[in-house]
Amino acid sequence: MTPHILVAPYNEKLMGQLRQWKMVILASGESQVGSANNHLRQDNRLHAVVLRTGKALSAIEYEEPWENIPLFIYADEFGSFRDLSSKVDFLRKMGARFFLSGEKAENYQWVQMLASMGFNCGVHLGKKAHWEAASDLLHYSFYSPAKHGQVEPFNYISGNFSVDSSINYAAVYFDDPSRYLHINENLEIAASSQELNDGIFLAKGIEELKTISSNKAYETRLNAWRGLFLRNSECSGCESWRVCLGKHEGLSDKNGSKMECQAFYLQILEAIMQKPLPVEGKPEWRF
Amino acid sequence: MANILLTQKCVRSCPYCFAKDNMESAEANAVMSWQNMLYLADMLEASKENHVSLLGGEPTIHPHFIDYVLYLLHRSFHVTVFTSGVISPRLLAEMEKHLSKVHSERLSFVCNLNHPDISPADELNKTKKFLTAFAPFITPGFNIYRPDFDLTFIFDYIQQYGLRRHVRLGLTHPIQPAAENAYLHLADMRKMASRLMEFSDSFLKLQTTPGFDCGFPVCIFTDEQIGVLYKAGKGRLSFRCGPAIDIGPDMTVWPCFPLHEFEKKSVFDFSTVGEIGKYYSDLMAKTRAGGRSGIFEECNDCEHLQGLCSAGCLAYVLMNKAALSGAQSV
Repeated sequence: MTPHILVAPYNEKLMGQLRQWKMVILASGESQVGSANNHLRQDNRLHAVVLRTGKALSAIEYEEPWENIPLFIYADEFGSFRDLSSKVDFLRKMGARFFLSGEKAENYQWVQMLASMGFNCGVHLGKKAHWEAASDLLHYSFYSPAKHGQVEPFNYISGNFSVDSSINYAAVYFDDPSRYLHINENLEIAASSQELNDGIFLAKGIEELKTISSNKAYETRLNAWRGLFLRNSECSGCESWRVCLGKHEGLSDKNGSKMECQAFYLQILEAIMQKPLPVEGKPEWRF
Repeated sequence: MANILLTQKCVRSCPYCFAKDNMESAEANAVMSWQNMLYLADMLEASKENHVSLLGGEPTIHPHFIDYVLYLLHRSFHVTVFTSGVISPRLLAEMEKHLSKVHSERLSFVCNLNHPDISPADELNKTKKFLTAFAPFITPGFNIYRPDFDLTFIFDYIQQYGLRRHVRLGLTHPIQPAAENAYLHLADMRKMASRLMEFSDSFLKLQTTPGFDCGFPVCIFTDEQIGVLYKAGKGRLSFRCGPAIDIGPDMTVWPCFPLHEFEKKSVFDFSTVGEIGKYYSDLMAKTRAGGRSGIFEECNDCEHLQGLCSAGCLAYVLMNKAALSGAQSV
């Protein structure tokens, strides 16, 4: 058995087939959150539930039983503060983590607002990041003198970065194949949610899953960052590649944002070389 | 404590307005952004402040007014809103929906009331609806800008609507440097004090405390009057002038409205609210030093100077200094 945690859609048959593994369940609706918890919690197999409904964060209907579920709520937009405000006391009891898309500039400010209220939260830094807003958020995360919740991916990077190695902060999005593998109902296995959607599979079936660590495709994928140097990518000359691992490669050539991403990641490096400020949060849960 | 200005626009045009100059010199559509509000909330928290006041202009016309109040409450601040109470029916309904269930110890409104005789009917109507809706949250406020003022309507409102039994009394000061607003002239100070004492029975009878805003000098009252005020105010009387710390939507900071042109700085020049307060306290003390330090000539030799009394509002002192230097140059 591999030490991986499997990321899978909510599917009772699939959960039954993967009894040997800890799981992150991708819930597509509010009702699946409690069900996933009921299925996996008693065997101590539930690592997390990720809820992505397509609704604004403030519009999600929260239910009482969610209080003790390791829940990650992903939303493309924040919604209305007034709507969220009435739920704040309940949300504080839940201990959920809130992630907003990095594709909308205003989301970075909402993440800061959530953190300032003590929530652990994060921004999903994808292909279309807003670097200036992201930079403001990283400064808040690292340097704000006020108490605040953890802000991902900055909290993860500062807690796990080592000067003599690189880091894949996509772990906070369950997209680090050294720890998480994505699997679908056909038991097709991929290194990330995007690769699973794109049909880029590493293996298929339970048996291949069990031996994934010795799988050639998997090993190649784990070391994909080496390609930056082999093909002499622009990113290979960047001081901050150990933090970004070339996540924005190619994008920089199209829209000229390379300097922005480089400056952003250098600011992260600079911040983590200094002693980070302690932040509030439950330390027992780890990505 | 700091005052955060959410807007630079007001729905009224009071003759004594102490924010008028500042509003006129500011960008009309300037409003406090979420980004700045988040920064200020963090700064206040890091400064160990647990109280914040929201001002304007009229703060309730800010599109995120309710959101900001809710946010600051979630951040565990006690919030005081200084308002005219002239609020549109739609906003008032929203405020009732979202704010009326807040504990009244955590949220206060200081409603700056003008005498009904000088208030247009529509304004008065709206204000009364606000008083009805938020009575337990509301402390009535009244600005004195002439010696023949009348507080009777305030006592009526307290009884009629069940407002908090405290009246915030503001003394209107000349806004520096132009002093174009209506304000109480020095020659009328003692007359004003005598007039105030005519309402002392009402304060005592209705168990309503008078609260002096900044700049009241102690010597305009006789010892006997101070004794009565001491009783009515349940032992709390203030004759101080110090920085209130007003922060504008553009993050400029100044000590108070009468001194809005007095060494404006940026909030980002300071790390804590305490630093801002110290900066302006020192500056104000320095400004008073040399020449006449108070509003009256006898202030310099007064036994209460910098003890019980700050010698009145610094705006009068500056006005006097400006007049003197003008006379010298002539």
